[in-house]
Amino acid sequence: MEDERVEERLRAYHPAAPSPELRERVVLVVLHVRGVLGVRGQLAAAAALLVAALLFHSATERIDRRIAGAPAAMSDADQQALDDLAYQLGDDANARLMARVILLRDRQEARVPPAPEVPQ
Amino acid sequence: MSEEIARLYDAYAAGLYRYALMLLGDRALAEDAIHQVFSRMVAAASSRIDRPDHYLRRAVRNECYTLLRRRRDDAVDDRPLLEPVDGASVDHDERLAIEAALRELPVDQREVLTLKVYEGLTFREIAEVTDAPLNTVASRYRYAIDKMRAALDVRIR
Repeated sequence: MEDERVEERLRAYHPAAPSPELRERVVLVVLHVRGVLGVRGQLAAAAALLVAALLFHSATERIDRRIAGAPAAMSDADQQALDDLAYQLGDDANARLMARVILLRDRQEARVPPAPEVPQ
Repeated sequence: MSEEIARLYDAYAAGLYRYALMLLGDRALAEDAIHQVFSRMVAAASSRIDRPDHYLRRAVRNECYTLLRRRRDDAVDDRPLLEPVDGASVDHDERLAIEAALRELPVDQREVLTLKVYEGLTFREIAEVTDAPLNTVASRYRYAIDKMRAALDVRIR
């Protein structure tokens, strides 16, 4: 028997078709996965917010620590500079906090040399 | 997304299922393979896949070979693999003989025979699908067709 004749006999049949229920199963999966991905998206947004909050907390805590440590290292001249700057910024609690941050940053970046000590 | 998957399913699932069925020899496993592949396609966002027909065939093939490695021998579905083509003369015994011979073929030979006879692919296309050299594909076809001929010859005698 020739190859073509064998193929012809094979082609008198074909592999069985899938059951109609398979399509329903696949479409159900689509809906399920879309639901899971929706929940995942919400979880990802919540995780991003949490990370942002932690980073913000960490950053502000570092600044607070630096600010808290600043007075001990301050000379009288620095204290005077702080008072002057706080006064220019509004002279309230927020102005003093901002003045401390600015002075500390300037000291660290060495843009402002330490104020000279005034001889007693 | 569901409309896109439904469109892809309607376009390709029947052919993919038949391919999976011939590789696995088991209707339930073939349905599982198709189900798995489409599920992963949804998760992978089908719109980013350039050639869904190639992607799906390769994914189904990989899934089938994975299932074949895991399959327990005592869990074979014995429902028929083949159905008569509409209008063709139905010879129940011949169908059983062809099906028995197909099941006896090594899976790589059955795969080449299926892609050639039922999917109409050329040897070169089969070589691409199966990642096999052209000569290997031709040899697998030769072995498979000889065994099928022997099975049909026995029937004729």
